[in-house]
Amino acid sequence: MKNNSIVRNILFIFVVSTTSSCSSLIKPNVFEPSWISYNKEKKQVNIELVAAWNANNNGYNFNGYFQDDITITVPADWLVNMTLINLDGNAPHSIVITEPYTDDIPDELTGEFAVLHRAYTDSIYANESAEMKFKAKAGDYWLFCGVKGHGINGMWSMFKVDKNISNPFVKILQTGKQIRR
Amino acid sequence: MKKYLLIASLLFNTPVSAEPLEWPSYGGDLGQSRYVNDASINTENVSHLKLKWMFQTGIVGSFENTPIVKDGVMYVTTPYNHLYALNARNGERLWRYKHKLGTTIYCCGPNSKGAAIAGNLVIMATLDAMLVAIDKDTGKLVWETTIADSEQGYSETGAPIIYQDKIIIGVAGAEYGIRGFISAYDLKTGALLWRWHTIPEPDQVQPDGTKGWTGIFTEKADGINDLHRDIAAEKAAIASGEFDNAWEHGGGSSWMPVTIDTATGHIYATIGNPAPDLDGSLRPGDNRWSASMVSLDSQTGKMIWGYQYLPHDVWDLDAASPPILTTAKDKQDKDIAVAVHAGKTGWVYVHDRKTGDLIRRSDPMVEHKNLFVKPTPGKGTEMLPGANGGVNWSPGAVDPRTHHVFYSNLHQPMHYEVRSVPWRKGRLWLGGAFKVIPGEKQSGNVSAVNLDSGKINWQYTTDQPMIGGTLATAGNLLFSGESNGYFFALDSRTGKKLWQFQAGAGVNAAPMAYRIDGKLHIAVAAGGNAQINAPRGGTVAVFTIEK
Repeated sequence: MKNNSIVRNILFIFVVSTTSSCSSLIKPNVFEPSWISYNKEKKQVNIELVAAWNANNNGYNFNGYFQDDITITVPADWLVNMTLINLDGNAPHSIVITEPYTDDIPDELTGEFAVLHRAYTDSIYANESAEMKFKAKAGDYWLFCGVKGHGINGMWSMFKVDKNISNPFVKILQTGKQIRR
Repeated sequence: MKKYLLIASLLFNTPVSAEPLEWPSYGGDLGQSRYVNDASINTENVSHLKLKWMFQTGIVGSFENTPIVKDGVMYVTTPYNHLYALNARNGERLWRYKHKLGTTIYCCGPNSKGAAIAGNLVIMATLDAMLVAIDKDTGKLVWETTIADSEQGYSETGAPIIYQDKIIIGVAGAEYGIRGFISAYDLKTGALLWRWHTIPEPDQVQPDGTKGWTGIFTEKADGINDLHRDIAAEKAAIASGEFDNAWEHGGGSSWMPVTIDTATGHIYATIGNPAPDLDGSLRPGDNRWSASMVSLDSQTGKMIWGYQYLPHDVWDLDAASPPILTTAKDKQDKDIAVAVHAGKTGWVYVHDRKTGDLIRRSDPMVEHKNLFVKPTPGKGTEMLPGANGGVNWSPGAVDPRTHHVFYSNLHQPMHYEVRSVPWRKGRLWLGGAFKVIPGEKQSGNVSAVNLDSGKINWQYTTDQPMIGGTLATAGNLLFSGESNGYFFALDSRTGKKLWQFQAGAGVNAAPMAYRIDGKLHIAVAAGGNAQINAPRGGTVAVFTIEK
C-alpha cells in the first residue's frame, strides 16, 4: 500500500505502456495515454489514476484532469482494473463510479453509491494506493472522488463504456492544461 | 496515595494538595499554559500510572478534543459536534447533546477542539459556524446563534473561550476564501458584542498608522530570512486596481482558541494563512494580519498590536498553535511577561506581551529546506516544513519554573506547486497543491525549548509526524501522544521516556489533568486524525495512581 507499491505501479505502467499500448496518437485530441494499458484478447484494461498529479484545480484532479477535461472510454464487457494513487499532501481521495450528475453534485459519496458492482475505492491518504476491478457495462458514468467536498469542487472525470469500440482511449475536451499523457 | 503526596512534596518542593483541581478551559487556564502545579504523579512514580476508566464516544472522525472538567464533571466534544457530560470519577455518561448540523464545508476533518463552561452553561462551537449553549445539568439547549454563513465556507473547529461575561472565538475557512474574524458574544444570550476582522478594510487604520491589509512590504521574515518577494511587481499590481477587492476574500482564519491575560483583559490570538493559500499573485501586499499574532482588548475588540510572522505568505506556513502566556528573560536578562507561539515554520517565537516585539526566535525544531523559496513555474519546488508545518495546531505546554516550552512537530517533505484559480463561493481555494514525495521518510518530534535562550534542550523523535499537543506537570513530566496509539510520559528535563500506554487509536489531541478525591488524573482523547491519517477511534482515556 505504501511507497514501494507506488513505485512498482509506476514502473509497471511505464513498461506496459512502452510495450503494448504504444501511446500512439489517433487524433490530436484522442489518444492512448501512458497510464492506460490493455489486452484485447483477454478484454482487460488497466487504468492508473494519480490524485493530485499536479496542482490543477487545487490538487483535486486525476492525472491532472478534472471535470469535463477528458472522457475515458473503454469497450463494453471488458474487465477494468483501476488503480488510484494519492500524492496529495493535504487530503484523502477516492474513486466511485457514479451516474453523470446534471444538477446537484453530491457533497460526499461512499462505495454504496457505485452504480457498477464493486466499482469504488475507499478513501486513501498520501502515499497510499487502492485498486478496484469491475466489469464494464455499457453506459455513461463519472469517475467521482467521494471524499466530502471534492466532487463539488470538480474532482471528477467522464467515463464511458461503449459497445462499438475495440480499444480503450482518452479524448481531451479541454486543451491547454498541464496533464499526464 | 498519601505516601506519594509526602514524597512528592519533599522531592519536588511543590505544594501537593488534596483540593479539587479543575480544567475549565481548553488550555487549562486562560493563559493556555497546559501546566499542572501538582507533583503527586512524578518521575519517580509514573511507572505506576494506570488506566482508571475509558469512555467510548462511538463517534469516529478526527478526535482533537481536550476535555474540560468542572465540579466533578468532564465535558467532551467529538467530531460532528456531539457533546458528552461524564462523571469525572468513573466515566459514567450523564448526558449527550447532538448538534443538528446544517451545511458544513471544512478542509481538514470534522473536528471540535473542545467546550467552555461558566455558570450553568456549556458552550460549543459547531462545524456549521454556530455557537450553542447547553444547560450543564440537563444537556438541553439554552440558546444558539449563527456566527457566519457556513455555505461560504465558514466553520468552527476550535474551542470557545469564556472570559468574564463574554464568549470569545475566531473562525475557520481561509481555504475557501472567507474573511476571518474574532468575535465576542454575550454569555447569557448569545448576542454578538463585537467583531474584529483579521483582514482590515482598505481605509482601516492599523496600530502602526498604515491602512488596510497591504502593510509595509516587508522583505524579510523576522528581519532575518529573505521572503523573495517582487515588491515592485506587487506595488504595480496594487496600482492597477485589479486587486482592490481581494481583501474581501483574504482568509486569515483564527481557528484555534484565543488566550487571555486576566490581569489586563488583553486577548492574544494566532491568525492563519491568507487566501488563496499558495497563490500570492491575487493578493499583492503584506496581507495583514494573516500569519500573525495579534493582541486585542477583550472589552471592545480594538486591536492593540500585531506581529506578522510571514508577510505575503505563499507557503501556508502560518500561525495556528495558540499563544501561551508566561514569563521569560528579555534581551536585558530581566524576567518579563511574554506571549509565546510555535509556528508552522518550526520556530518558537517569544514576544513582549505589552508591545508584541519579538524578543527572540528559537533554533528550528524541524529541518528546513528551500525555506521561503518560490516554486519554479510549472514544476514546483520541494520544501520543508511541508503543508502541515512544523508545529500545526498542536498546543504547547510551558513549565514556568524552568522557562521551557514543549511542542509536537511534524517532518513531512513535500513538493508544492502554484496554479492560479479564481475564487468561487464555498469552493476550495488553495491556488495550488502540496504533494507528498514518494519514498521520502516522514517523522515527528517533541521539542523542549528554553525560552530564555531559544536553544533546544532536548528532542524526542517519533517515527510518525506529530499532531496533538503536550501537558507539563510539576512532577517533571511531559505527556503527549503519537499516531501509532501510544500515549507517553517523558522526563521534562531530559526527554527520556518513562511510561507509555497503547490506546488503540491515534493519540492526536492535547492531554489535560484534574484532581478529584485527592488524586491527580491525566486524561487524553484517542481517536486519530484526518490530516495525517492517524488510525481513528473514539476513546477518552483517564489515568491515575490509585495507591
